[in-house]
Amino acid sequence: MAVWVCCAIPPPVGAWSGALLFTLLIIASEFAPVSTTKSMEVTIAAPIHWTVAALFGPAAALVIAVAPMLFVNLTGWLCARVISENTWGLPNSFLRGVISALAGFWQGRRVYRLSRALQIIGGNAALDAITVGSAALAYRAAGGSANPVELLLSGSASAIILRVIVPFCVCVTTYFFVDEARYVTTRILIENRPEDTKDWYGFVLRFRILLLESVRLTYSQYLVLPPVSLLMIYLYAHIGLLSGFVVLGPVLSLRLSVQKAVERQQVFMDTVATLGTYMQHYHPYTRGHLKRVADLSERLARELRLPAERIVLMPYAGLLHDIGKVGVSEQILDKVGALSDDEWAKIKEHPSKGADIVQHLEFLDQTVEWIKYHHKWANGSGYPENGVKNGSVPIEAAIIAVADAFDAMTDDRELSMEWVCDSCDYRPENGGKPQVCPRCGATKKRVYRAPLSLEGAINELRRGAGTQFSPEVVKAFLRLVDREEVSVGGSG
Amino acid sequence: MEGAVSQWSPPVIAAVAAAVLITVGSWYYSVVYQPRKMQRAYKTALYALSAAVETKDSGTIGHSERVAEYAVAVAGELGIGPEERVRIEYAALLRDIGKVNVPASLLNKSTALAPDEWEKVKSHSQLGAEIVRAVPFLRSLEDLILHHHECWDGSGYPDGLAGDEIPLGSRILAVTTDYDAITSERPYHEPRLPEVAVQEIKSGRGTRYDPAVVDAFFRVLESR
Repeated sequence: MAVWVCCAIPPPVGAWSGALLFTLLIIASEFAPVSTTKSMEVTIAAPIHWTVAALFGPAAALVIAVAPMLFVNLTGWLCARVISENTWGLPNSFLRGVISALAGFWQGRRVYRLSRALQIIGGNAALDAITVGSAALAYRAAGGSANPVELLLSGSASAIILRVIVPFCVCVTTYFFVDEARYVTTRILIENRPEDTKDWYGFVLRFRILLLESVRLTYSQYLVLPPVSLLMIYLYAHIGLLSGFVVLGPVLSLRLSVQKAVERQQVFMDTVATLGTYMQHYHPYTRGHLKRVADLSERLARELRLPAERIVLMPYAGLLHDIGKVGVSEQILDKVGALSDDEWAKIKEHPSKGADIVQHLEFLDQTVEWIKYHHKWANGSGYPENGVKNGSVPIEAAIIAVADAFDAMTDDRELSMEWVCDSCDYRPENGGKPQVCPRCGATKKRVYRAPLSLEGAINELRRGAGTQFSPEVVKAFLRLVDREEVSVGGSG
Repeated sequence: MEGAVSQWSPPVIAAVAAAVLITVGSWYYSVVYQPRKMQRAYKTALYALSAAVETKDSGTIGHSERVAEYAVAVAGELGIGPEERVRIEYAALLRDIGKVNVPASLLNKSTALAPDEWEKVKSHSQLGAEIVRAVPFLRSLEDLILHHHECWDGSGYPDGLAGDEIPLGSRILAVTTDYDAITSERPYHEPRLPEVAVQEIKSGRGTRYDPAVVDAFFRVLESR
């Protein structure tokens, strides 16, 4: 209701020419899409939306949001359709060139039937209208002046701050939240993963994770673009329509550079993690194992409700947790039977070695401690032998420990070797696997055995809870098991 | 809207200047500053990963970093463009990454290798190429790493390529790797003086090594 009342307020005189200018600007910017990857679309529409919302009010803002969207998409779809069907038997002419250029508006999406295309375009336009409309209403609700131009030209500084700048910030914040919520919700619905839509908790958690991911990508735009938009408003008040062109440069280049920076970071993290993973793949045992550990670690972190920014890093840590082993001789890693103390010392170095490596990987260096302590037990034994920084093993390291142990215990690729005593090389004749060597009484250090069943592995984890494993993590693991989200040798 | 005079008042001109400044600044950030920063991050990361393999090879750490430094200098001397220089640098850092699958006992052996052991050592070129092929961003390094042990006269491995068939980057890596290997300590030899290494590289000019690369390498050594 309030929306309709506010929208009925006529925009100030002269607004429509301004609105038209900004509409044309949006069309122009859409015509040269600067999107570099499919997942991250770059549009410079947002700062123009804010400017219009502040300058001309909700009605004009809605027009600005909807009209260019409809025009651009319909033209794009139509041209893409003409090109794909080539109904008019177009020769390779100027006209054809123009049409295929206009088809760029459709941005390489599939050429749907008219009804489907209309559905998509209409849906997007409606969502755009909601975003922009709520931002414009927020501006008014926060006491924004209906005629900021006059205020900027002749108002006092305090009036400008209270009636233009503060409401403008409210407007941008609203836009930000509505836009993010819309993006994240759409993504969850498109992904349609059962664990996200099953209950509210799953939905909210996934929402928070995606929101964080998305905010990480966009927050810098929301830091740099509003000042530019304010600049746009200021210049519009003073030099009129010309302002649109002055501000086009900063808006485009800022947005592009932010996007580029984020993309490069993502490529970097993926590259480094993949390279590290493949470096470990020569060893048949690690193939598949790393991926499963990464997967299970991430799900345990979710179940333990860790902060989203750490859940996001969890798979990378899972993939790289044993990277320190590339520096350990394979005669030791693959040795069957007793290891000398020296050899054991070498093996025990691998978490620290891995931490040394990961320390040099930018953006992933937050996982150093997770990797360093993934063989440290909950009761303080395990390795590295000197104590843990800050007293207790980080929960992420405990998560990796459980995921690693579970997958190692159930992996059917682990060599199922016979039992040999580490100290005296005794082999039981009946193929038994005692805890303590019956001949020399040594406790078994290295256990070789056939893969355990799910129940067997669960029992082992239960038995180790509180000594080897963090009870909290084991409990979370058991909850995953109860919901049948864990399976042997694969991701549940 | 007011008159033309107040339209272009100093604050307005300043605002326009600010707009231009932001454009130039963000362009600089995106095109110059940030790529440099990322390149440093890549170098550090690739070096950290290759150093992990080096600790198995008993040659001291820092080997691949030195080779990368020489290789880039030689590439510059040969007039190779900046993009290709980066490729050569990354390849120099990762060239021995395939050694993850070569037992340390072979890498550290001080006596002659048996034929099958030698085959195992030689396989590191192929494995290294396979590893980088699996990583989209590094795929273009594949041929440089695969052929970094080829010789100018066709006597190298794995494919026995000769002359121009060998990628230029690999020819550069061959010279710089050997120079560094001769001058640093190895299980099978003591470190030798740079003069000895120069002599050895010179004797391989035109047989093991591309003459043009050797000449450029010597010019680089002289300039230091």
